[in-house]
Amino acid sequence: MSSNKNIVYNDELFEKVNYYHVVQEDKTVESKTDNYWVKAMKTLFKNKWAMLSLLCIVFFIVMSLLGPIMNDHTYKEQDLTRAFLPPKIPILADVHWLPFDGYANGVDQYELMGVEESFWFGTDQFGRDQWTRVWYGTMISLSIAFIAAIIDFFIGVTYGGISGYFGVKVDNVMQRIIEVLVGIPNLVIIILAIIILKPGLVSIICAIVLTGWVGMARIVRGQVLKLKSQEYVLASKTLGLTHPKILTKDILPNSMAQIIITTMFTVPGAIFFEAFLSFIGLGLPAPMASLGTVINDGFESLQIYPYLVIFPSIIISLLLISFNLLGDGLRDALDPKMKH
Amino acid sequence: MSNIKEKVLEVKNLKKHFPVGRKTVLKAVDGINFHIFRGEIFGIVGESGCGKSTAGRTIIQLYEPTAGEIIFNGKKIQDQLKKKDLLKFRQEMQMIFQDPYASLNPRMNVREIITAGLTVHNIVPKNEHENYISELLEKVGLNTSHANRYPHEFSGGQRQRIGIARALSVNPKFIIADEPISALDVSIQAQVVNLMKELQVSRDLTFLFIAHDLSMVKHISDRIGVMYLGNMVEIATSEELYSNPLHPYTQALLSAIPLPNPKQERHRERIILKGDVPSPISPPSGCPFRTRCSKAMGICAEVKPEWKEIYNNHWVACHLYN
Repeated sequence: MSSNKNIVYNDELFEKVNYYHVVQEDKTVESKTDNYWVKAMKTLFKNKWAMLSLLCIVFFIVMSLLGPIMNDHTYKEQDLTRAFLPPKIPILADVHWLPFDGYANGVDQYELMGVEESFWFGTDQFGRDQWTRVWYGTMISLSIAFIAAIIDFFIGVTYGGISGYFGVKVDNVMQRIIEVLVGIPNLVIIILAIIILKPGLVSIICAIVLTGWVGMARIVRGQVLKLKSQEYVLASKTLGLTHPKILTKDILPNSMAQIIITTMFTVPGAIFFEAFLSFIGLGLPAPMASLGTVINDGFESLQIYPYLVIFPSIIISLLLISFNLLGDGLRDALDPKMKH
Repeated sequence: MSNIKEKVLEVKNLKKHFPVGRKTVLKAVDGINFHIFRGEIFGIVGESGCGKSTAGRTIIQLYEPTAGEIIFNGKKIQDQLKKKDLLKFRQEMQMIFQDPYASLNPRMNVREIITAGLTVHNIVPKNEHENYISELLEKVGLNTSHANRYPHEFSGGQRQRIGIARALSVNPKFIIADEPISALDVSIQAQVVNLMKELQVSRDLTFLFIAHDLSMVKHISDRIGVMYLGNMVEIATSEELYSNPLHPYTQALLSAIPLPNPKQERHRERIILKGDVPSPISPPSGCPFRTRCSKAMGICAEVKPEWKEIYNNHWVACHLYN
C-alpha cells in the first residue's frame, strides 16, 4: 500500500464519463427488462403445444365463419332425393382408401341417385348439406361458449370481488348463496331453466351461465382475500382511495392471470355442456345446428352412416383439446408458481 | 426546539384485539398510552410480535381499534368518521411500509403509483402533475426518467424511496414509518434514514418510527417507547433511555447492543432473558413481563403495574418504581 503514496492523481489517470452516456446506458437497461405481460407472452410463444392449439382454434374459428358460405347450400335447406349421400370431394374421388370417394357399400351413391354435385361431408337424412351444417354448428357452439364465458367472467369477477373484498358478513351471506347453488345438481337447475325458458340459443346460454359463474367467483374471491392484506393495498387505503378504485386498480389487475386462465377453461366447458344438452335433447330446436345437435342427429344412424358423426366429433374433440392445452400454456406463462 | 411542545398525536389506552377462533382473542395491542409532540421523531421498539406494527396500523385507521382513544391534531379519531373528516385525516397522516417489495403495486408504474393520491386529494391541478412528480422524485433521490418504470425494475432502496415519495405526495403532517429499513442493506438503511431525517426538517414532519434495530432508533429518534407483548413498558427521550433504562426489559434489550470498542465489548454484560415470549392469546396475569423478569416479585403476578411518569418525561410501567 505504501508504494501507492507516490502516485500523483491527476485527470490523465481517469476517464471522464459523460453524463449523457450514463443516461443512455440506463435506457438500454430499461428496455431489457420486460414487463410482466411481454414476458408471459414470450413464454407462451415458446410452448409448442399451446401454439399448435392456438393455430387449431384460429383455424376452426375461421372455418366456422367461412365454411357455411363456401357452397350454395344453407344449413336448413332440405331435399329428400339426395338423402344420406356419403362424402365426396372431386379431387380425392379416385383415392378409394379415403372416405371422400362417394362410395357406400361398394356402390357410387352419387351415380345411383343421379346427383351431379359433390357434397364434401355428405348429406344427412333430410338431404341437408353436412359440410354447411357442421361449420354452422361449430360457429353456434363457439358463440354459445364465448358468450357464456364472457357473462361468467363479468358476474364471477363482480361477485367474487365484492364477496372477498368486503369480507366478514357480506362474504358470509354471498358464500352461502353460492353453496346453495352448488348444492343443487347442475343438471336439475339447467333442465328446469330450459323448461321455463323456451329452448333456444338464449336459454342455453342462460342455463350454462346460471351455474357457470360460481367457479370464477370462487377463484376471484380467493385472489382478493390473498391480495387485500398486501401492503400496496393498505397504502392505497391510507391514501384515501375508494373501495371500487382499490378493487379495480390494485386487486383485479393483480389477479388477472388467474381470471384469464379460468376463462380459458370455461370455454371448453361450455362447448361440452352445450353439446351434452343437445345430445340429451335439451338443445337447440330443430332446423338450427350446433356441434351437439349435429352429432345427435348422426348418432341415430351411426352404424349405417358413420360419416355423419365422425366429422363433427373430430371437430369438437380437437376444439376441446386445443382450448385445454392453450389454457394450460397460458397458466404456465401467466402464473409459473401454479406449475405443478 | 421550543419549550412549549404541542401534542400532535395522543393515544389513550389503545387496544386492538383480533378474534382467533370462537372464544379466544389475540391481544395484539393491550392498552397503550403515549403522545407525540409536533416535529419530533418518536421511535417504538420491541421484538417481533410485540404489537408495534399493529399499533401503527390501528392509529392510521387500517384496523378499527377495539378500545381507546386516538386524538390527532386535537380531534378525536373515531371509527365512524365523517367522510370529509376521514379524507382530511387520510391526507394528513401517511404511512411508509415495511416491505419495499410488497408495498408497490407491481402492475403500476411509478407515475401511476404517485398520482393515485394526488387525484384523491386534489393536491395539484392535473396539468401540473408531471412537474410535481418530477420534483418529488428528485427530492427522494430518484430522477424524472424513473417515472415510467415499473417497481420490479428498482432495487430495494429505490423502492423504499418510491414508497416515501408516495407518502409525501399528499403533503402529510404526520408519517408512520413501519420498520421502513428492516428489509434493506445496512448501507442503504443509512441513506433512507438520513433521507427521512432531512425530510423531517425540510417539510416540518412528525414521525412515528417503528423499528427493532436499537442503534438505528437511537440515531433517529427524539423519544423512544419500548413495547413488550402489546404493552408499552417504558418511554423516555433517547439519551435518557439509553443512559438510564429503568424497566428490566429495556435493560435486557439495551444489553444486547454490541459495542464498537472491542475492549468494552469484551466486558459487556448481557442480560439473557429466560424462556420465550408468552402468547398474546393468553398473556400472563399482572405484569406481562413477569414470567421472564429477573426481578419479579409477588405483586407482579397480581397487579398490572401502573403507567407512571417517574422523572420528567420518563414513563415506566414496573412495580420496582412504586
